[in-house]
Amino acid sequence: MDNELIGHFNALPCLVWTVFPDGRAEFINKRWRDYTGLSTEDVSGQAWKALIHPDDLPAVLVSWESIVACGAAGQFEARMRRYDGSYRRLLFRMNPLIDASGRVIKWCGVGIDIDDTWRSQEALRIAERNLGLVINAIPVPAWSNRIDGSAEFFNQHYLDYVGLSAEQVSDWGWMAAVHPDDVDALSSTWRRMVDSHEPGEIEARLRRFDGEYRWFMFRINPLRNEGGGIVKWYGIGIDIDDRKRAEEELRRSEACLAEAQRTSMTGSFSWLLDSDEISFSEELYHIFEFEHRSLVTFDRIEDRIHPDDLPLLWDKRKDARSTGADLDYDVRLLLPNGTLKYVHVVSHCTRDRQGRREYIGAVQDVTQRRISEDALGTLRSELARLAEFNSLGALTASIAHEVNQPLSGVITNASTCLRMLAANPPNVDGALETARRMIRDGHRASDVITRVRALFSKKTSVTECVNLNDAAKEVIALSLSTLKSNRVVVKTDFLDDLPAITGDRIQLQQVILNLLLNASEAMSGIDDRPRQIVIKTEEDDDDRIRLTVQDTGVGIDPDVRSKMFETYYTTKGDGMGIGLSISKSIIERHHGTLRAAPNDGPGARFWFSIPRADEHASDSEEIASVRTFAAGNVVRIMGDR
Amino acid sequence: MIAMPPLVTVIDDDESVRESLPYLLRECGFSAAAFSSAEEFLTSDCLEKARCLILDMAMPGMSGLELQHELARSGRNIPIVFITANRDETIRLLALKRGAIDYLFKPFSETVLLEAINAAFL
Repeated sequence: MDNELIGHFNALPCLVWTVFPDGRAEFINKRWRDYTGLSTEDVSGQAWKALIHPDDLPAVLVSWESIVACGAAGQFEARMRRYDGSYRRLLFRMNPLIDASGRVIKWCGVGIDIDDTWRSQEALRIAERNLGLVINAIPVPAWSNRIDGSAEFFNQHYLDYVGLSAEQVSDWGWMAAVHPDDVDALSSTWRRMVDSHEPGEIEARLRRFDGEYRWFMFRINPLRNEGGGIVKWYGIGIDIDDRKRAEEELRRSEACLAEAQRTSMTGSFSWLLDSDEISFSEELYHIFEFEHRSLVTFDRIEDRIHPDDLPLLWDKRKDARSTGADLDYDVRLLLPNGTLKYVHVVSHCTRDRQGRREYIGAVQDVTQRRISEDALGTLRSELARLAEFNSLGALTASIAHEVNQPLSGVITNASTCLRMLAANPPNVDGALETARRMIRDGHRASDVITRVRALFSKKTSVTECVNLNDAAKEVIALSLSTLKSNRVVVKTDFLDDLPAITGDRIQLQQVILNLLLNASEAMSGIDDRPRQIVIKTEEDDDDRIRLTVQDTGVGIDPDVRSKMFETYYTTKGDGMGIGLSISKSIIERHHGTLRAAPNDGPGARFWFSIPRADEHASDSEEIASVRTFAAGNVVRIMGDR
Repeated sequence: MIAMPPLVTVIDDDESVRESLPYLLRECGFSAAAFSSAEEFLTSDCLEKARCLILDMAMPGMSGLELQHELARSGRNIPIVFITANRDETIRLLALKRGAIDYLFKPFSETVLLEAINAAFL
C-alpha cells in the first residue's frame, strides 16, 4: 500500500482496516490505532477479537463467519473497547476484495462509532416500551383516534374490559360495545368534538365482557403538532357507575323527600348562625310563597310573618343565638295576597362540617289543622256552655223535685187542717196532728236546702307547705295553650330555694291563674310590642314571699285602680272584677296582701305577698269557704275564651 | 150495712205525700190507702177495691207510667190521677194520651186534686 493511500486512509473519520479471509489483520489506519490505543502489531492476527465486548463476541463471530462464507458485503454491530477502556458501539461494514478469478483476497472494513446515536435510540426504545407497559397497565380503558375519529389503538385494559380483540374494536368497531340507548348521543358529541377540534367529555354506558353495562365518563384530548393541527386524539374512560347509581339513589331519595314534604306540607330549612345564611327546601319556598331558589333572608321572612307574631319570632331568634336551645313554636304567616297561614316550627341546633353552629328545622303548614281545631274548640266551648246550662237545668230540676215533695206535703196538710177545723164539730186533734206534720214537712224542705248547700261547699281543705315556684310552674303548664293562642310569651324569674308558705295550694294556683289570664287579656289588643308576661318570685323585706305577674298590656286606668279589688267591680263582661276580689279574699285568708301598680313602661304588675311557712296559724275552714266560689269563677274566665 | 165510701189509693215513694194525702181524702169523704211502691200496691187487696189511683210518676222500681201500662194490659180500668214533682210536658202528654184522668204538678191545691178525683168518678 503506497504511502499516499495510507495517508488518505488515516485521514478518514472512521476506523479502516483490511483483514485476510482467515481473520488475520493486514492493515489498520491511524484512527483505528488512536481509537483502540493499540499498534498494528498489537492487533495483528486474531488479537482484535479481544477488543470486542465479550457479550457481543459470539454474535460478531457468527456474523463474521456468515459474511465470509457468503463472500459478499455485510455488516454487524458490536461494542469495542476504546483506548480508555470504555466500550462503545460501532457499526462495522465489510466488503470483500475479489481477484480476477473471483476469489476473495481480503476484506476491507470500516467501523463507525454509533454509540451516541445508539444510546439515544435505545433510550427512546426503553421509553416507548415503558410507555406501552404503562398504557397497558393503567387500570382505565385508554385509546387513540385518528383525525377522522376512527379508532387506532386500544390499551389492554380496554380490550380486557370489553372482551374484544384489537381488530374487533379498531376503526368504528368499538361502537358495538356502547349501550344502544347511548350510541346516538355519544356519536353526535364525538362528531362535534372532532369537527370543532376541542377536547371534551362524554358519559355513556359501555358493555363489559360479561355483558353488564356500566357508566363511563370518557375524556378525550387532541394531540396537536407544532402548527396547532390535530395529529391524534387520546382518550380515557373513567368508571362512574357507582357514582351514577349513588346519584340516582340520591335523586330518588330527594324526590321522595320532596314528595313527603309536599304531602305533609312540611318544609325544611337550615340556618347558619354566624352568617345568617338560610336555605329552604322546595316545599318551604312554596309555604312562604317565595320564588323557588330565590335568596332567603330574615328581612324577606319577616315580610311574611304576621306583624303580631314578629316579637315572638325575634324572641325565638334571640333565644337561639344565646342558648342554642331547641325551638318549637307556632307562628302565623301573612302573605301578600292577604292569606293567613299557621305554621308550626321545630328546630334543633347542631354544627356543620366546618364546625359552625347551624339550626336544622322543619316548618309545617298547620293551617287546615288549626282551622279545624279552632272549629272544634268553638264547638267544644259551645258544648261546654250547653252542658253547663243542662247541668244547671238538671240541678234546678233536682232541687225543685227535692223541695216540691215536702212542699206538697205542707200544702196537703194545710188543706186537711183547714177542713178539720171547718168541720162541725171541728176536729181539733186531727188539725193539731196535721199542723205538726205541716211543720215537719216545712223542716224537711229546709233540710233539702241545707243538703244542697252542703253538696256544693265541700268542707275539705288541704293546708300544706306550698312552694310558689312549683305552684306557678303548674299553672303556666296548665294555661300554656290559652296563652299561646293569645301569642303571649311567658318568662319566669324564680328565686332559687324559695322558702315555702303554708296554705291551700289549689286556691293559690287559682289566684296565680287569675292574674295570668288577666295579664293575657290585658295584652289582647297589643300589637306594637311583644306580649310578654314575667312571673317573678322573691322574698321581700318583711320575710314574706312575693309573687309578681307583670305584663306589657294596656296598664291600669287610675280611676279604676282604687276600685278594682272591690267585689263585683268589673270593667268587662267576663268577670275580671270578681276574679280579683276573690283573689284578694284568698290572699287575705292566707294573711297576705294583693296589690297592683302600673309599670314604668307599658303594662301593669299584680303581686301578692304571703308570710313564709310557720309564722301564722292556718285557717283551713275560712280558706275552704272561698275556695268553691273562686274555682267557679276561674272556670268561667277560662270558659269565656 | 153501710156502704163503704169509694176507695182512693195513693201510691208515692214520698212519705209526706203518703201521710198527708189520705187524711185529706178521708176528710173529703173517701176511703184512702197509701203504698210506697207500685209493686206493693199490685200485691195488695186494694188492687181489686181501688176506684181511683193517685199515682206518683217517679218512683224506685216500677214507675207510675209502667204501672199504668201494667194495669191496662191486665184489663183493670182504674182511673189514674198522676202527681209529680217534675215538670216534664212530654211525659204528661204521654200519660194523658194513655187515658190518665189528670196530671198534677206538686205542690197542687186541694181544689185541683178534688176536681180530678171527681172527674174520675163521673
